Amino acid sequence: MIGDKLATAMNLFGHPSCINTAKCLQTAGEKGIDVEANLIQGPDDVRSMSPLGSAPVLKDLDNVVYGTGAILSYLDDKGFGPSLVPRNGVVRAQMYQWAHLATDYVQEQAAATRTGGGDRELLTKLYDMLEEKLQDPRKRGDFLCGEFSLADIHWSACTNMLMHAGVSDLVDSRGKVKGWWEAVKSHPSTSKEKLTPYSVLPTKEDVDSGQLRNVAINVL
Amino acid sequence: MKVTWDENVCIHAGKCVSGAPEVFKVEDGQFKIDVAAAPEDKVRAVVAECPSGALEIQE
Repeated sequence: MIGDKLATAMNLFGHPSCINTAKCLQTAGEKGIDVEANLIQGPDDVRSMSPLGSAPVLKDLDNVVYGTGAILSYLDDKGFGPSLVPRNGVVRAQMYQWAHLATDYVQEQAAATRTGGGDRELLTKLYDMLEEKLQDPRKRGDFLCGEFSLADIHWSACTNMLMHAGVSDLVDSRGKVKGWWEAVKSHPSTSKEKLTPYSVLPTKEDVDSGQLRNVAINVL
Repeated sequence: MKVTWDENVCIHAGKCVSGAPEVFKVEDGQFKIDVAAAPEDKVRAVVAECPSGALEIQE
Protein backbone atom coordinates (compact mmCIF):
# COMPACT_ATOMS: atom_id res chain seq x y z
CA MET A 1 0.00 0.00 0.00
CA ILE A 2 1.47 3.33 -1.04
CA GLY A 3 -1.05 6.05 -0.27
CA ASP A 4 -3.62 6.84 2.39
CA LYS A 5 -6.58 4.57 2.87
CA LEU A 6 -10.12 4.69 4.15
CA ALA A 7 -10.81 2.86 7.40
CA THR A 8 -13.46 0.59 6.00
CA ALA A 9 -14.53 -0.80 2.68
CA MET A 10 -17.65 0.54 1.03
CA ASN A 11 -20.40 -1.82 -0.08
CA LEU A 12 -21.61 -1.77 -3.65
CA PHE A 13 -24.79 -3.59 -4.62
CA GLY A 14 -24.89 -4.40 -8.30
CA HIS A 15 -24.57 -6.98 -11.04
CA PRO A 16 -21.75 -7.83 -13.47
CA SER A 17 -24.03 -7.37 -16.49
CA CYS A 18 -24.93 -3.86 -15.31
CA ILE A 19 -22.79 -1.24 -17.06
CA ASN A 20 -23.47 1.29 -14.31
CA THR A 21 -22.10 -1.17 -11.74
CA ALA A 22 -18.97 -1.49 -13.87
CA LYS A 23 -18.53 2.30 -13.88
CA CYS A 24 -18.65 2.33 -10.06
CA LEU A 25 -16.11 -0.48 -9.74
CA GLN A 26 -13.69 1.17 -12.17
CA THR A 27 -14.03 4.52 -10.39
CA ALA A 28 -13.37 2.86 -7.03
CA GLY A 29 -10.23 1.29 -8.47
CA GLU A 30 -9.12 4.59 -9.96
CA LYS A 31 -9.61 6.37 -6.65
CA GLY A 32 -8.02 3.71 -4.45
CA ILE A 33 -11.22 2.74 -2.62
CA ASP A 34 -11.86 -0.77 -1.37
CA VAL A 35 -15.30 -1.97 -2.32
CA GLU A 36 -17.07 -5.08 -1.15
CA ALA A 37 -19.20 -6.10 -4.10
CA ASN A 38 -22.64 -7.50 -3.29
CA LEU A 39 -24.40 -9.35 -6.07
CA ILE A 40 -28.07 -8.48 -6.18
CA GLN A 41 -30.21 -11.60 -6.34
CA GLY A 42 -33.60 -9.95 -6.50
CA PRO A 43 -35.30 -6.57 -6.61
CA ASP A 44 -35.79 -6.39 -2.84
CA ASP A 45 -32.00 -6.22 -2.42
CA VAL A 46 -31.97 -2.64 -3.73
CA ARG A 47 -35.58 -1.51 -3.23
CA SER A 48 -35.02 -1.33 0.51
CA MET A 49 -32.16 1.12 -0.01
CA SER A 50 -33.07 3.11 -3.09
CA PRO A 51 -36.31 4.82 -4.04
CA LEU A 52 -35.21 4.35 -7.65
CA GLY A 53 -35.35 0.60 -7.06
CA SER A 54 -32.42 0.10 -9.39
CA ALA A 55 -28.81 -0.99 -9.14
CA PRO A 56 -26.19 0.07 -8.36
CA VAL A 57 -26.42 1.30 -4.79
CA LEU A 58 -23.42 2.27 -2.66
CA LYS A 59 -23.39 1.97 1.11
CA ASP A 60 -20.61 3.67 3.04
CA LEU A 61 -21.18 3.15 6.77
CA ASP A 62 -24.56 4.88 7.32
CA ASN A 63 -24.55 6.72 4.00
CA VAL A 64 -26.56 5.19 1.20
CA VAL A 65 -25.92 6.64 -2.26
CA TYR A 66 -28.09 5.73 -5.24
CA GLY A 67 -28.07 6.92 -8.83
CA THR A 68 -24.91 6.22 -10.83
CA GLY A 69 -23.94 9.87 -11.24
CA ALA A 70 -24.18 10.42 -7.49
CA ILE A 71 -22.17 7.29 -6.72
CA LEU A 72 -19.39 8.26 -9.14
CA SER A 73 -19.27 11.75 -7.63
CA TYR A 74 -19.16 10.29 -4.10
CA LEU A 75 -16.31 7.92 -4.98
CA ASP A 76 -14.45 10.72 -6.75
CA ASP A 77 -14.73 12.97 -3.69
CA LYS A 78 -14.00 10.32 -1.06
CA GLY A 79 -11.12 8.66 -2.87
CA PHE A 80 -7.56 9.67 -3.47
CA GLY A 81 -5.64 11.30 -6.27
CA PRO A 82 -6.77 14.01 -8.69
CA SER A 83 -10.48 14.53 -9.35
CA LEU A 84 -12.02 12.78 -12.32
CA VAL A 85 -13.90 16.00 -13.06
CA PRO A 86 -11.66 18.51 -14.89
CA ARG A 87 -11.26 21.90 -13.19
CA ASN A 88 -11.18 23.89 -16.42
CA GLY A 89 -14.74 24.90 -17.30
CA VAL A 90 -14.45 24.23 -21.03
CA VAL A 91 -12.85 20.82 -20.52
CA ARG A 92 -15.38 20.03 -17.79
CA ALA A 93 -18.26 20.76 -20.18
CA GLN A 94 -16.67 18.48 -22.77
CA MET A 95 -16.33 15.78 -20.14
CA TYR A 96 -20.05 15.98 -19.28
CA GLN A 97 -20.93 16.04 -22.98
CA TRP A 98 -19.03 12.82 -23.68
CA ALA A 99 -20.29 11.19 -20.51
CA HIS A 100 -23.82 12.03 -21.67
CA LEU A 101 -23.22 10.48 -25.10
CA ALA A 102 -22.04 7.26 -23.49
CA THR A 103 -24.79 7.09 -20.89
CA ASP A 104 -27.75 8.08 -23.03
CA TYR A 105 -26.80 6.50 -26.35
CA VAL A 106 -23.92 4.00 -26.27
CA GLN A 107 -24.88 2.25 -23.04
CA GLU A 108 -28.34 1.08 -24.04
CA GLN A 109 -27.03 -0.34 -27.30
CA ALA A 110 -24.03 -1.96 -25.64
CA ALA A 111 -26.25 -3.71 -23.10
CA ALA A 112 -28.71 -4.80 -25.76
CA THR A 113 -25.91 -6.09 -28.00
CA ARG A 114 -24.87 -8.58 -25.34
CA THR A 115 -28.34 -10.10 -25.27
CA GLY A 116 -28.69 -10.26 -29.04
CA GLY A 117 -30.05 -6.85 -29.90
CA GLY A 118 -28.50 -3.43 -30.22
CA ASP A 119 -28.57 -0.89 -33.01
CA ARG A 120 -25.30 -1.50 -34.86
CA GLU A 121 -25.78 1.49 -37.14
CA LEU A 122 -26.11 3.83 -34.18
CA LEU A 123 -23.09 2.29 -32.46
CA THR A 124 -21.03 2.74 -35.64
CA LYS A 125 -22.02 6.40 -35.76
CA LEU A 126 -21.16 6.90 -32.08
CA TYR A 127 -17.74 5.26 -32.36
CA ASP A 128 -17.06 7.32 -35.50
CA MET A 129 -17.78 10.38 -33.36
CA LEU A 130 -15.37 9.09 -30.72
CA GLU A 131 -12.68 8.55 -33.38
CA GLU A 132 -13.18 12.09 -34.62
CA LYS A 133 -12.99 13.49 -31.09
CA LEU A 134 -9.77 11.62 -30.39
CA GLN A 135 -8.27 12.93 -33.64
CA ASP A 136 -8.76 16.55 -32.54
CA PRO A 137 -5.27 18.12 -32.83
CA ARG A 138 -6.10 20.49 -29.93
CA LYS A 139 -6.54 17.56 -27.54
CA ARG A 140 -3.62 16.69 -25.27
CA GLY A 141 -3.03 13.40 -23.50
CA ASP A 142 -4.23 9.89 -24.20
CA PHE A 143 -7.78 10.28 -22.97
CA LEU A 144 -11.04 11.83 -24.09
CA CYS A 145 -10.51 15.14 -22.33
CA GLY A 146 -6.74 14.93 -22.01
CA GLU A 147 -6.25 13.51 -18.54
CA PHE A 148 -8.23 10.45 -17.44
CA SER A 149 -11.72 11.60 -16.42
CA LEU A 150 -15.26 10.37 -15.79
CA ALA A 151 -15.85 10.55 -19.55
CA ASP A 152 -13.33 7.73 -19.96
CA ILE A 153 -15.05 5.77 -17.20
CA HIS A 154 -18.44 6.05 -18.96
CA TRP A 155 -17.04 5.01 -22.35
CA SER A 156 -14.81 2.28 -20.88
CA ALA A 157 -17.66 0.46 -19.17
CA CYS A 158 -19.70 0.49 -22.40
CA THR A 159 -16.74 -0.56 -24.53
CA ASN A 160 -15.91 -3.35 -22.09
CA MET A 161 -19.43 -4.76 -22.49
CA LEU A 162 -19.25 -4.48 -26.29
CA MET A 163 -15.98 -6.43 -26.21
CA HIS A 164 -17.71 -9.14 -24.20
CA ALA A 165 -20.49 -9.15 -26.81
CA GLY A 166 -17.89 -9.90 -29.48
CA VAL A 167 -18.05 -6.66 -31.42
CA SER A 168 -14.41 -5.67 -31.00
CA ASP A 169 -14.28 -4.32 -34.56
CA LEU A 170 -15.95 -1.12 -33.33
CA VAL A 171 -12.66 -0.48 -31.55
CA ASP A 172 -10.12 -2.35 -33.65
CA SER A 173 -11.15 -0.73 -36.94
CA ARG A 174 -10.59 2.78 -35.62
CA GLY A 175 -6.97 3.74 -34.99
CA LYS A 176 -7.52 6.46 -32.40
CA VAL A 177 -10.25 4.55 -30.58
CA LYS A 178 -8.00 1.51 -30.48
CA GLY A 179 -5.18 3.61 -29.05
CA TRP A 180 -7.54 5.10 -26.46
CA TRP A 181 -8.75 1.63 -25.43
CA GLU A 182 -5.17 0.40 -25.04
CA ALA A 183 -4.43 3.47 -22.91
CA VAL A 184 -7.47 2.74 -20.72
CA LYS A 185 -6.44 -0.88 -20.26
CA SER A 186 -2.91 0.03 -19.17
CA HIS A 187 -3.76 3.22 -17.25
CA PRO A 188 -2.48 3.00 -13.65
CA SER A 189 -4.60 4.36 -10.83
CA THR A 190 -3.84 8.01 -10.14
CA SER A 191 -4.61 7.38 -6.46
CA LYS A 192 -1.04 6.07 -6.22
CA GLU A 193 -2.30 2.59 -5.45
CA LYS A 194 -0.68 -0.22 -7.40
CA LEU A 195 -3.72 -1.04 -9.44
CA THR A 196 -4.86 -0.86 -13.02
CA PRO A 197 -8.50 0.22 -12.75
CA TYR A 198 -9.40 -1.64 -15.94
CA SER A 199 -8.64 -4.88 -14.10
CA VAL A 200 -11.62 -4.41 -11.78
CA LEU A 201 -14.13 -4.16 -14.64
CA PRO A 202 -16.24 -7.32 -14.94
CA THR A 203 -14.63 -9.85 -17.27
CA LYS A 204 -16.63 -11.87 -19.78
CA GLU A 205 -16.41 -14.79 -17.38
CA ASP A 206 -17.76 -12.60 -14.56
CA VAL A 207 -20.68 -11.50 -16.72
CA ASP A 208 -21.46 -14.97 -18.02
CA SER A 209 -21.27 -16.58 -14.60
CA GLY A 210 -22.96 -13.75 -12.68
CA GLN A 211 -19.94 -13.12 -10.48
CA LEU A 212 -19.16 -9.73 -8.98
CA ARG A 213 -15.60 -9.21 -7.75
CA ASN A 214 -14.53 -6.94 -4.90
CA VAL A 215 -12.18 -4.02 -5.42
CA ALA A 216 -9.56 -5.19 -2.95
CA ILE A 217 -6.74 -2.73 -2.42
CA ASN A 218 -6.13 -2.17 1.28
CA VAL A 219 -8.87 -3.37 3.59
CA LEU A 220 -10.23 -6.54 2.05
CA MET B 1 -51.72 -11.87 -17.29
CA LYS B 2 -49.45 -9.08 -18.57
CA VAL B 3 -45.70 -8.63 -18.09
CA THR B 4 -44.28 -5.12 -17.90
CA TRP B 5 -40.65 -4.08 -18.35
CA ASP B 6 -39.03 -1.03 -16.77
CA GLU B 7 -36.00 -0.13 -18.88
CA ASN B 8 -34.74 2.27 -16.22
CA VAL B 9 -34.46 -0.57 -13.72
CA CYS B 10 -33.22 -3.28 -16.12
CA ILE B 11 -29.57 -4.31 -15.62
CA HIS B 12 -29.53 -6.59 -18.66
CA ALA B 13 -28.70 -9.74 -16.73
CA GLY B 14 -30.27 -11.63 -19.63
CA LYS B 15 -32.14 -14.15 -17.48
CA CYS B 16 -35.34 -13.56 -19.46
CA VAL B 17 -33.95 -13.84 -23.00
CA SER B 18 -32.04 -16.98 -22.07
CA GLY B 19 -34.79 -18.49 -19.88
CA ALA B 20 -37.69 -18.03 -22.29
CA PRO B 21 -36.40 -16.74 -25.64
CA GLU B 22 -39.78 -17.40 -27.23
CA VAL B 23 -41.36 -14.86 -24.86
CA PHE B 24 -38.60 -12.31 -24.28
CA LYS B 25 -36.75 -11.25 -27.40
CA VAL B 26 -35.02 -8.31 -29.02
CA GLU B 27 -36.30 -7.47 -32.49
CA ASP B 28 -35.02 -4.51 -34.50
CA GLY B 29 -33.37 -3.15 -31.39
CA GLN B 30 -36.62 -3.26 -29.40
CA PHE B 31 -37.26 -5.52 -26.41
CA LYS B 32 -40.51 -7.40 -26.99
CA ILE B 33 -42.59 -9.61 -24.72
CA ASP B 34 -45.05 -12.18 -26.01
CA VAL B 35 -46.62 -13.79 -22.95
CA ALA B 36 -48.75 -16.07 -25.11
CA ALA B 37 -45.68 -17.82 -26.51
CA ALA B 38 -45.13 -20.00 -23.42
CA PRO B 39 -47.15 -21.53 -20.60
CA GLU B 40 -48.04 -19.07 -17.84
CA ASP B 41 -46.08 -20.92 -15.16
CA LYS B 42 -42.92 -20.74 -17.27
CA VAL B 43 -43.35 -16.99 -17.78
CA ARG B 44 -43.92 -16.51 -14.07
CA ALA B 45 -40.81 -18.53 -13.23
CA VAL B 46 -38.62 -16.49 -15.57
CA VAL B 47 -40.02 -13.19 -14.30
CA ALA B 48 -39.26 -14.34 -10.75
CA GLU B 49 -35.63 -14.89 -11.81
CA CYS B 50 -35.18 -11.27 -12.92
CA PRO B 51 -32.62 -9.91 -10.42
CA SER B 52 -33.46 -6.25 -10.94
CA GLY B 53 -37.22 -6.44 -10.79
CA ALA B 54 -37.48 -4.73 -14.17
CA LEU B 55 -39.97 -7.39 -15.19
CA GLU B 56 -43.23 -7.48 -13.29
CA ILE B 57 -46.43 -9.43 -13.67
CA GLN B 58 -49.65 -7.45 -13.81
CA GLU B 59 -52.65 -9.68 -13.20
